[in-house]
Amino acid sequence: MCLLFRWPQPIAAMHGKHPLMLLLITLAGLALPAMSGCSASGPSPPGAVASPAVPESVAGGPVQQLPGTATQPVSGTVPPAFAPVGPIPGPQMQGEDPATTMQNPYDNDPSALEQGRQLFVAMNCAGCHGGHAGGGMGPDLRPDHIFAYGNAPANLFDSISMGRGMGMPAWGTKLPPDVIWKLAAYIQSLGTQQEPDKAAPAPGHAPDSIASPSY
Amino acid sequence: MANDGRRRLTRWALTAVTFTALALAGPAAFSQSSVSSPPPPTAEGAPTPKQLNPLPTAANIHTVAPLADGQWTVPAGDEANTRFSPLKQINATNVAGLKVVTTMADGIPHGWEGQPLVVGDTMYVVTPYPDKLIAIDLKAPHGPVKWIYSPNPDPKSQGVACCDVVNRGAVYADGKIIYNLLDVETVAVDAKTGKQVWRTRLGSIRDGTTMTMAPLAVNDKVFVGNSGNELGTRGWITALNVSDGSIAWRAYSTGTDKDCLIGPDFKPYYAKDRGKDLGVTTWPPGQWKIGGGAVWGWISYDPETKLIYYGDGNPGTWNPTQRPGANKWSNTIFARNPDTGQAVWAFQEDAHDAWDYDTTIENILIDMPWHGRMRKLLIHPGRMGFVQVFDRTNGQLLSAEKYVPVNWARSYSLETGLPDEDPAYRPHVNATTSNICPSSTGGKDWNPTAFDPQTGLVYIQAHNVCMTDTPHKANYIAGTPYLGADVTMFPGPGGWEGALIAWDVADARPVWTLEETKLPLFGGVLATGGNLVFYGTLDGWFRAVDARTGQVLWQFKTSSGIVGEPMTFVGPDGKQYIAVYAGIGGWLPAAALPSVSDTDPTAALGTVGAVPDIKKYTAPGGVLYVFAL
Repeated sequence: MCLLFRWPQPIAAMHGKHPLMLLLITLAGLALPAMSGCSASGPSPPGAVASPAVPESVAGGPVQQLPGTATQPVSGTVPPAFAPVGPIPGPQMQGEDPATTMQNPYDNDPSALEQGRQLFVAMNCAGCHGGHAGGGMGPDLRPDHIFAYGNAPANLFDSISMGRGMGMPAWGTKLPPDVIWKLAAYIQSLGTQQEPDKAAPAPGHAPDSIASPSY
Repeated sequence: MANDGRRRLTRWALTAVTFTALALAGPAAFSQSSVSSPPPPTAEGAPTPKQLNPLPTAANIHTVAPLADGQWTVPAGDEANTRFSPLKQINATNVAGLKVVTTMADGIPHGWEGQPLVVGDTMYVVTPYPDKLIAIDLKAPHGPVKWIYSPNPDPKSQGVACCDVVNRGAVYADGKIIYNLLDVETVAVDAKTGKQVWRTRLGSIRDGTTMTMAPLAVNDKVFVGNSGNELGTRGWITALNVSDGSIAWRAYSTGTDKDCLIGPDFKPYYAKDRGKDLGVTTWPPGQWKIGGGAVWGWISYDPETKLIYYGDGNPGTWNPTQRPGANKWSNTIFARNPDTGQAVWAFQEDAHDAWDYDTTIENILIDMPWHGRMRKLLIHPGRMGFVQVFDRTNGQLLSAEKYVPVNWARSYSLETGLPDEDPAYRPHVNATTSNICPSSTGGKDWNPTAFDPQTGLVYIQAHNVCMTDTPHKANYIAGTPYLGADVTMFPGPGGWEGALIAWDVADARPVWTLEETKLPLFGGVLATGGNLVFYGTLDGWFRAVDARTGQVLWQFKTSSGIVGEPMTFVGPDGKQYIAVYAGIGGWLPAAALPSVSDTDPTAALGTVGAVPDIKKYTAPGGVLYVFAL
C-alpha cells in the first residue's frame, strides 16, 4: 500500500486533485441516515453524484477485523464499521471495560494523524465542531471539554460510527473502520504536541488605520 | 473631523444637552424662570456617551403602523419594525426608579433571542430549543404560569442549527400564537387554552434546514422563512394560511423566476437586478439548489403600500470561488405582495458575496422628509457595515453610509446600486485575507435596532469586529456544514468592541455613541415615548438611556448576557412594564457556552476571538425579567 497523503501541509493548500477527493466524491450526494433516525439510507439531494465504492487506496486497504472486537458482523449485512467497538450495557459485561483499554490501531502514527486532520476538514467535521475542533454547532472536542459519551478511543470510535441523538451523524455506514480510527486519532491528538495543523492564534485587534470611519 | 468643526459641535452638544435636560425636567422648569430642576444623574458606574454631531430637527415623521393600546402582538412591536412604543409613563425623569417586579427562568443554557408578546392579560414567551411556549398570567402578582405548550421538536435538529438553538419569537394572529420550531415546522397554538390548533412541516433537517425566525402575520396569512445558509439549504419565504396552516405560496430565494415568484409585477430599480431567471443563470449549473439565501431574519409590512419587505441571507458556500456569478437572489432585499407573494422590487446588497454579509437584517419602514420632500423610506442598517436608506415604493437607494469601521467596500453608488469594493479585502480560495472589516458577524447582525420618530434617530447595537478569512473547497454532504472557510475574528480598530450608536437617518451620520470596550453588543433595542432607549449588554447590563443624549439614566445587572429584544406593555393594572430576556448564547457570543473552547480561534465559525474572555463575564441560563416603577 503506497502512502498517498503528502507530509503535513496547511489545510489551505488542499485542492481538488488530492486523492482524498475520491472519497469525498463517493460521499457527495448521500444523505446521512442518522437524520432520518431509522433507515440506513436517505434521499439523495438534488445534484447528487453517483457513488462508486470507496477506493481501496483511500480506505487504506481491505477492511480488517479490528483488535478487540467482540463480534464479527455477518458478511453482506451490516457495514463493517457500523457495529460498536465499545461496551454494550447489559449483564454479560465481565471483567475489564474494553472501552478503557482498547487502543486506537493508529496510536503514534504521524501520517495517520495527518490523514485524520484532512478527513476532519473534508468530511465537514470542522464545520460543526470548529475549525480546530473547539466547538460550534457541535461540541468542543479539545481536552478542555468533558465528553458526553467519553473520550476513550473506543468511545470516540462509537460516537463517530453510531452517531448521537442530538445531531451527530452515524458515519459508520459511510466510512470504513480505519478511516474512523484515523479521525479518532486526530481527536486524541488535540492539545498535544502531536496535534497536526494547529490553529494560528488570533490577532489581538485590528490595526488602527485599517478601516474607516473611526469614532 | 476638523478641529474647529469639533469645537463647534462640542459647544452645540453642550447647549443641546443643557436644553434637553431642562426640557426633560418638565413644565415646572419653564413656569419658574428662575428655578430649573437638575438633569437626572447618570446611573452609577455607567459609561458616558460620546457626542459626535447635533441632533436632527426630526419633524413630520410619520409611523405607518403605530403601536396601539399597550399591547405587543407582533415580534417587532409594530409591523413596520420601528420597535418604538409611544408609552411614556416610564420616562427619562422617573426611570431611575425602575425595579424588577418578577423573574422567570427558562431552564435552558442557550441564547434567549426574541421577545415576549403581550395580548390582553397574558404574556407569551417562546424559549430556545425545545421551543416551548409559556403563557404567563399578568393579572396575578409576579406573573404565574398559566400553561406550557411543549411541541417536542426533533432532538437531532440541535446538531443542524448553525448559531445556537435559538428562537426569535412568535406572532399573534386570529386568536392564535404562531411560531416556528427548530426542526422546520410552524405551529399555531390557541392563545386562551394552550392547545395546538395546527402544525405544518415545511422542510427537513436532512438537507441542513432549520427554522429560528419570528413570523409576521398580515391579513389572513403568516409569513415564515428557513435557516441553513451554512449547510447548503435553499432559501425560501412561505406564506401559510392563518386559519389552518396550509401553504398559500412559497417564494424561493434561488431558482427560476417562477420559483422565486418573479413575474410581470417585478420592477427592480437598478439594471444590475434585471434579467430573466437570474436565480439560475448567475450560478454554475445546479449550484443554486444548494445556494442559500435563507430567510431567517425579520419581516416588515407597510399597511399603506400593502407590501411586505424582508431580506435573505448569504449564498452557500463561504468559498466564493466555488460559485462564480452574482449568485442571485442571495443577500437581497425583496418587496412582495403579501397575498400572492409576487415580487415588486428587489435589491441585491452584494453580488457574489465573499464575507457572509447576510441581508436578513430588519427593514424599518418610516415616512419622513428626505432632502426636502416627504418620502416613504426603508432603513436597512446592514450587516455589511452601511446604513442604507431606500425609497420603499420602488427600491431606489437614497443613501449608504458606514456606521462602523469598514474596508471591504469604500461606498455604494446611488446611480448603479453597486458597492465600490476594495479588492484587497475580498477573500479567494486557498489564500488568507487579513483584517477584513467588518467580520462576518457584520457591523451588526440580526439583533434589531429601534427607530424613534421623536428624535429621527435609529439606535443600533453595533459590533466593531474584523476578521481573517481563508476560503477552501467545501464538500457538499447533505445535512452537514457546507462551509468552505476558516475564519478568525478579533476586535476592530479604535479600541471599542461594541457601541449603541444613535444614527441620524436624515443626515446619514451618528449623533452619539455609547461604547463597550470589553465585548461587542448582540441584543435588541427598544425606543419609547418616554424619551428612553433600552438595550442590554453581553455581560448582562440592562440599560435605559436618554434617547436624545445617550446619558445612561438607569441600569440593572441581570444574571446573564442579553441577546434578547426589550419590549414594553401596559399591564391589566394600567401600569407600564418593560420586559427582556437575559440568557447569553447565539453566534457571536458562542464562546460563552461551555460547549465552545477558548483554545480554538476558529471555533464557532470564528467568533471566539471577537469576545475575548467572555467566560469570565457571563455564563448561559435564560431568565425573563419584568420591570416597573
